[in-house]
Amino acid sequence: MREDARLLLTVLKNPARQAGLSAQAWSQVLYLARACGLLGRVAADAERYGLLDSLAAGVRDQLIGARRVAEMSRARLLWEMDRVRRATLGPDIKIVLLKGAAYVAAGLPCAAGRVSSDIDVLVSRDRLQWLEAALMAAGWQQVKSSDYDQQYYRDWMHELPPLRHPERNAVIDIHHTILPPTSRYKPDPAKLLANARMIDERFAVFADTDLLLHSASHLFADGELRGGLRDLVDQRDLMVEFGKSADFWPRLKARSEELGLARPLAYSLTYAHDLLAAPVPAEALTAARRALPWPPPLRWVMDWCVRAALIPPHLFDRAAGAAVAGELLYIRSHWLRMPPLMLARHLGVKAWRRTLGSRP
Amino acid sequence: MGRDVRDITRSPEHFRALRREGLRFRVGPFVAHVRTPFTRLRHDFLETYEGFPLASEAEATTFHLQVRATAPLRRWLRPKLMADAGFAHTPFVPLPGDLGMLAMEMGLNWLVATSSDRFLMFHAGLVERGGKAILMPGASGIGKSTLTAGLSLSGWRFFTDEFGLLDPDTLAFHPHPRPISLKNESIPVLAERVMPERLGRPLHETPKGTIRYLKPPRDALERMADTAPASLILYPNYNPNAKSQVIELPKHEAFAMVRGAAVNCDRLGETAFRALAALTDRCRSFRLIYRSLDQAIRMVSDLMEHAP
Amino acid sequence: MTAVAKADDRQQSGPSVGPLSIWTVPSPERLLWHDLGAVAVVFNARSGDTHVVDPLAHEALALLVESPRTASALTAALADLLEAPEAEVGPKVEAILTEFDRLGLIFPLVTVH
Repeated sequence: MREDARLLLTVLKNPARQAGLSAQAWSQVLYLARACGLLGRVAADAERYGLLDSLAAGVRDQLIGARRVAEMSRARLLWEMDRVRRATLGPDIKIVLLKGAAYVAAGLPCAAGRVSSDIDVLVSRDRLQWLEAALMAAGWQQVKSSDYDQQYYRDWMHELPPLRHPERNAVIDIHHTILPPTSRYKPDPAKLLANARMIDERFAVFADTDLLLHSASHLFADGELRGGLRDLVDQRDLMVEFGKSADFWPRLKARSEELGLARPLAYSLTYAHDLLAAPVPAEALTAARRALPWPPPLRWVMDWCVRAALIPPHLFDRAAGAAVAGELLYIRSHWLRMPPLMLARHLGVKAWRRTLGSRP
Repeated sequence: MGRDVRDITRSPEHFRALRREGLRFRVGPFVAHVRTPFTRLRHDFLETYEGFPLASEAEATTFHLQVRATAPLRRWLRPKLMADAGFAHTPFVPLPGDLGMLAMEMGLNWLVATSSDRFLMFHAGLVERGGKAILMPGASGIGKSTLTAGLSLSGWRFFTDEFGLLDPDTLAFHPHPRPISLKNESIPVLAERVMPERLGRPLHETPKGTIRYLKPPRDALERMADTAPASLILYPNYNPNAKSQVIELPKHEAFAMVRGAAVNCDRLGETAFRALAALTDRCRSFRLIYRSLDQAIRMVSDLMEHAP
Repeated sequence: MTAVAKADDRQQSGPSVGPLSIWTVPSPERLLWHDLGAVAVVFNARSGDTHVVDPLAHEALALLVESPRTASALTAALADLLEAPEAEVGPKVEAILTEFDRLGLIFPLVTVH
């Protein structure tokens, strides 16, 4: 494994090891952590372990800056929740917070130092229009402007076109299920909603098993995986936190099968265990891995792709491999999301628009 | 500062290093690591950054930047280059091969602007004398760089012409002495005041017209670790047709103006608010309308004496 | 930075609430004030926004921090302080409340609709 990747994984596994890093090692860790969206996390770890004051000034400066940015991100999420609460006064409807917003609202350890740019929520399908209308009446506006974008979202995605509040420049994504309807995985949103736990009169978060399964399916079935180490850190933290109760692992396995997400879970457990020392019991790992049906050659290719794509290459050390792995996985994740003809059309429209330069 | 610290020189060694492992050098509180394969840019860079202290093994890198070809073949056919910091979502644009220094400076500016949230950062020029700093916020093109450069050639220590870096805990400003970017009409004004070798070659037809980089004065580089609190905030406004005058700003206006110049104040939240409030309490703020550089330098010296 | 108490007819922040709604200031300890002579500025740590507040708006916010009130109770209290007729103060209070609500400085406790 690359030296910089090994160093970053070491301090993510064991933050106390930050204390022994040389300046040269810090140069690599800080760059890679930033590229992975994990600088805030490294800073939060340094603070939690009381290491900030012992670090060299240049390193400390960068971590203090990253900590401030993460604090601001957290404050913004809480503020957007407050504004959504105000915009939806009245009807007794459950809004489930997803990802970063959920971690912050539920006070989970993976919220520490985490930077989210958008807020993601989920409501049952029959409440979509109501929520969209309520937010638009309170000043949120459509972001995706072209008719094609609007149609694409409404037909093929698991969320409404994103809404932005122009005064606060904050974006909200409203989902009705956690994966696109065209994905080969089809977890039943009603089941996820049913087990979601209310945290106040308006907002809920997924049950413990479902928080992990959502993050895993987002990273390993839906996302592009590129730079996805941050998500894997979330998953490792969720495993540490929820794994404290003995019945979590059997419940997790049962739930993954009930929702049809056994395979993303197998990837998540495997890589969180291998790369980040997640405390997954051996029997849970073995059981989960039975969901990986691929014969060895294909599995090795996947394994290589995943490891290369999770951690982006260093600016001064670009190996062609990482870019290729990223592209392969991008194609793969789109292939998982859409019928094949759809894929060509979608990529075609995007590329065409890039060529014309009408949008970034 | 001990002179055992090595500086950037116009040596074959550093010329080679820029292409291979890159050069790591200190600029105030930051360590930049830059690299580029372009010959012309490497010449320009060493000329402009000669005398900057190289970072030691004991210092971690703050920014990585390379200036690279936009596409492999382009580099030979029709050179086009761009800055690359390795992150997605950077605003860098391809530039003609002649404008490498511009790509480098814009790249470094972007890195400072987006990753220095340890400091409350002002879009401002900054000079110091007698342990007191003057903050001069202002948009590009109103004479901020020219006045900063002029003052730094008249007995003031140069801190920055672009980024005022305030430590919100100590309320001291940190120097960030980078090459001063002189544009268009301001070039002849400064050219007559400095030795020709201090000015980089003209970069023509940039998005902002003609640019020449002025090397920071020697004392600015030697004392780049010496911070200073601000005692005065000035809003320079060069206008050859107006009556020259100094107008003091009422407190609420002073607060609103300096907040507007604080680039990252939304990212610093409460920390920024407290620092801005303290800064507004401590410093008087003036609008400075002037007709010539010499006049402005006299006005600033008078203000410094009478409004300490 | 936004100026408070120059209410305009911009967007509401949510469903309008009845006149019986009680307005409260959530987490007043997270409001940081700084006096600038003629006006004050307040930093709302919840929103990350800084607002310029004129004396009347300042007083109105202070009264709501003291205890949550309806619009009419706030009007009565301000009219008493200013020794001005309630009919004159009322519209100002309405405008201030609308703006406070839009900026998220206050939140309705009871909705009657």
